[in-house]
Amino acid sequence: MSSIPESTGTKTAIEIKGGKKRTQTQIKVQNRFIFFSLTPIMIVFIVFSAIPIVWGLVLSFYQYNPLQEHSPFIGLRNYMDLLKDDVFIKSFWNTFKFVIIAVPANIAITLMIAIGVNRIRNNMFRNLFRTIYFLPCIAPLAGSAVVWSTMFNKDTGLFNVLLNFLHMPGVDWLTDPSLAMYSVIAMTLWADMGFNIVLFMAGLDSIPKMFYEAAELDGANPWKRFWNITVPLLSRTTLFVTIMTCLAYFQMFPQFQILTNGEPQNETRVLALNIYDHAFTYMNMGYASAIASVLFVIILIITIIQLKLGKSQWEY
Amino acid sequence: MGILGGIMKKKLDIPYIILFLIVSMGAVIMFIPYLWMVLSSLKGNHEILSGATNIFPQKITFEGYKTVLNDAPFIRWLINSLISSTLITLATLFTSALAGYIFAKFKFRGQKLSFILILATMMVPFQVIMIPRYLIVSDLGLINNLFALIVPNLISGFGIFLAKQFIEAIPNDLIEAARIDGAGEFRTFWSLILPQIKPALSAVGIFTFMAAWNDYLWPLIVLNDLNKMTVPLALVFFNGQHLVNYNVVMSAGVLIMIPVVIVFLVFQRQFIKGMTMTGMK
Amino acid sequence: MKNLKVIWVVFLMLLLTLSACSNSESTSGSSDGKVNLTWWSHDGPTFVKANKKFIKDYEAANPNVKINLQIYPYDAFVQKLKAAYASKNPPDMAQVFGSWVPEYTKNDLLSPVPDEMKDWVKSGFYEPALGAYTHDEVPYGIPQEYNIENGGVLANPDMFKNAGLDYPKTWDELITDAQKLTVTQNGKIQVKGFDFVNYDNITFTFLSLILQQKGEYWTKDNQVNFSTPEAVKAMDELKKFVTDYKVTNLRDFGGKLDTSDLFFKNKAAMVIRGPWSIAEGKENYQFEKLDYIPMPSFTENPPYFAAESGWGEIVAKSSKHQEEAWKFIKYMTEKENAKYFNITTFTVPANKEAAQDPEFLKALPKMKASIDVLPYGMFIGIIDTDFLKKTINDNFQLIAADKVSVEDGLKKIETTINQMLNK
Repeated sequence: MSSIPESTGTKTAIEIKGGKKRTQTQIKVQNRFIFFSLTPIMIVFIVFSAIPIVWGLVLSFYQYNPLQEHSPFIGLRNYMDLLKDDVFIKSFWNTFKFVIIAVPANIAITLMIAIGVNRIRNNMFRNLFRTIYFLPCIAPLAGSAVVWSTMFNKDTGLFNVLLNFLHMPGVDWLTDPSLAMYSVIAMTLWADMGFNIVLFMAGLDSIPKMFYEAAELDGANPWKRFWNITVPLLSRTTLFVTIMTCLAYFQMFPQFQILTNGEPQNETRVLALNIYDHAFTYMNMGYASAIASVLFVIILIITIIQLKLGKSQWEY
Repeated sequence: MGILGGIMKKKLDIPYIILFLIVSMGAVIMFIPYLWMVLSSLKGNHEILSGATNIFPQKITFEGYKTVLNDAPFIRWLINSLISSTLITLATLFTSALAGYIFAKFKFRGQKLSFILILATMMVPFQVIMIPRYLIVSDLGLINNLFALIVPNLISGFGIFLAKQFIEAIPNDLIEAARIDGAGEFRTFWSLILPQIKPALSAVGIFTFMAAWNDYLWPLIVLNDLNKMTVPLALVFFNGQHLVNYNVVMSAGVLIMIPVVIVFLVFQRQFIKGMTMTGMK
Repeated sequence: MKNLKVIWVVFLMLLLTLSACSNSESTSGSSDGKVNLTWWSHDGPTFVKANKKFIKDYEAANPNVKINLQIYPYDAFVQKLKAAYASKNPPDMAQVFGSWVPEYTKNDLLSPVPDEMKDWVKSGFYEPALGAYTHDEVPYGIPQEYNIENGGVLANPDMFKNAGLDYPKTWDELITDAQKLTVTQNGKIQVKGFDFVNYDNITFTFLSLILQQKGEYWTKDNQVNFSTPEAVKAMDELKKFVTDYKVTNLRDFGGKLDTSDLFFKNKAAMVIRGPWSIAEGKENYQFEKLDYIPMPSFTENPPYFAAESGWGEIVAKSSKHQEEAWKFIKYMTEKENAKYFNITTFTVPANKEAAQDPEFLKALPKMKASIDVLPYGMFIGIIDTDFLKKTINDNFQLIAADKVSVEDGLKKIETTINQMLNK
């Protein structure tokens, strides 16, 4: 379905690498080229990505505070403390709650919108709609969160003003413990549905029309067509979208910090926010690293499961 | 005219009209926060202090905009964002293409290992590397410096991966031919490979630029000075100073959105194409 | 190959120029014979105003000194300062909140007050204000403010008048007045009778209620103890404001607005808050029609309270201009300038002379409630008060929402804080 052949390249590359005879000087020149190109890149990569990852994991075994001269090695104590830390446990579940609600909601809504927009026959309108749905994605998430925080305002915010206009009592969007998380989810969905809509639209475009036409001739109703054609043929896009959305949502930070900063009653405190607070408010970086490592393991496991599930589905 | 004409010809396709209305309604809902932002930005300080609950401004004023332009180094923020995002994007394009080329078309010791390493780091949440990266950057004396935003982002695992995928599709004969013609290795890369993978690079470029432009957490950690802040950070910072008079922040928001929307509309086609391409890979 | 090298070099040069550009403005040091002092402070408008005046006057009198004031919002400032010290790149001077200081003195990051000023500092300033700035009996900073979140209550005279009430003199009156002043519609509080539910005052009200029962919350081995009957009674009383007296609620906690904002928006009749809030209200809301009344004691005892050390000045040990920095700080904290500072910021003077000067109360008659309770203040103790407040706030919310019992909540606070203290 993609326009780029994926596996043909590697085969020929091996041929060239093994097959053709090279003069010594040619090899030398090539080696020098490789060396000069790759060294700066690898240095930046090692200093700012590879070392930090290892360091981050190591840091979680220390009681590290940058203001302190000595950082004692404390083994697994940070991890043991995590188990006793109510706020951590709460933020752990909050993160799952956020992902479990927001990701499927995102996928379902964006798929519906993509199908809807794709059905629009007029090209100009289709592009216009796609642009409008995509627009929130280009705004900085932090900025969108600021705008939404005023819309959520209890007295003068848009939502409560509209509710009052309809003679309904206002709602504490961000300070009601049972509601705050959903308010943040609503804002998040608005802010980044656009990506997935565009991806789904592209996926839908690549499904050959004749499948639908054939199904229509067989008398399949739209629902059946959706389940038997769209869903299976879109599974690759869906898998990609799901994994990427999951990865992003596990790490979501700005809107939590700006809209609620974890309150009320820590109902919106997610791991990302917890890490930030421990690292940069209480300057307890070892502890923060331990939380980050937990987040890493969670993401790793979830991604592997998704890839496995995706694979078995393709084979089927 | 076109759309209505189309509907008329089909003798009132009711489901289609309903679909059209639903999609339009969704689009309107998506647009409301922007409308709210613009309307709020036009309210006066006094109106906001009075706690009035009107959605439309009672009287249109530009007090908010005046405050932004007078009190805040607004142009500076835009320039900071522009400099850092542009440099990051250019560097990433270059390093991605170069590394992608080498990983795709050469063989050397440690090749597989380095490539897997680069891929693996894409999976690691930013929160894990954030703290050590901060410590490294501060050891290098780069805290509170635009440099701190740029240097760690000079390369992108995603960019290298995408470039490699595309370059592998370029026939080797072409490269060999260039070599036989006596082109140096870098010449080959520059004038043969780069033009071939333009679509992939435009995708990488767009993504890198957007990620850099919208980044919040990393600048929040490494930048202190109001004068050095990038747009998203400055907006939030500004929000803290004008909690009560939120018309000021909304004005800043509008001013920031205008250039972004213009850029987006201009490059929209490439943008959507680039996104589509990455989704396929 | 040459081209590749050229590109790398161009990259490097671009980056270097850029870093040079962005660094050139803020380098502290002496250029053209001038001493450049970097000074960080938070962005409270009145503080900025006072600080800027000091700079202007001082620079006029000392043309060889240039002071570069950089301001940050409170929340960001806490982190920025830690980050700056951690990266060994601190500002020469910082106007900090006292309770942050112990972590810096503990790690030997601050410049001690010069010998010739030591005696003046030790005798001339109130002890609770100096508490956190002192390490092993050596002062490492000069307080500008006796931070006090207790003692005074913002009261709306119109609301009292309309309800036909006098200001409360006793704890019971406080409660009955608060109940009468509370306006409830459809089960939702529209105007709070008495509010303390904010980031600071939950903790400070709680601690003062313990102290007013002559209770203690520190053990001999520097642990906190909130299992005492006094602590339980204090927390139970706080909870009752929400659950029984129903004069406040948790609806605004965690929102963007402070309890004092609610007061200035006429959404609260009485709010316990430090006197600084009066100045902020005037600045942000042009709100002046208020009274600042004494907070009644919970018991027969005087209105004891715990105070953390407030705003004051520190100098980095790594600063190249410690001597000049201390000179400027001395200039700011001596009687007349201290008085100007406290009058401008509506804070209580840490400088005894300034506090006892009748001119001070003449300039700020509303400050009387605060000045009167100064003798009953005790230093809160060496502790990360941000963590203390966060922990108490977390658990208070759960207690007030009836999600945990008072005893369990207090136990949780105690173990969490002691766990932190042991780290």
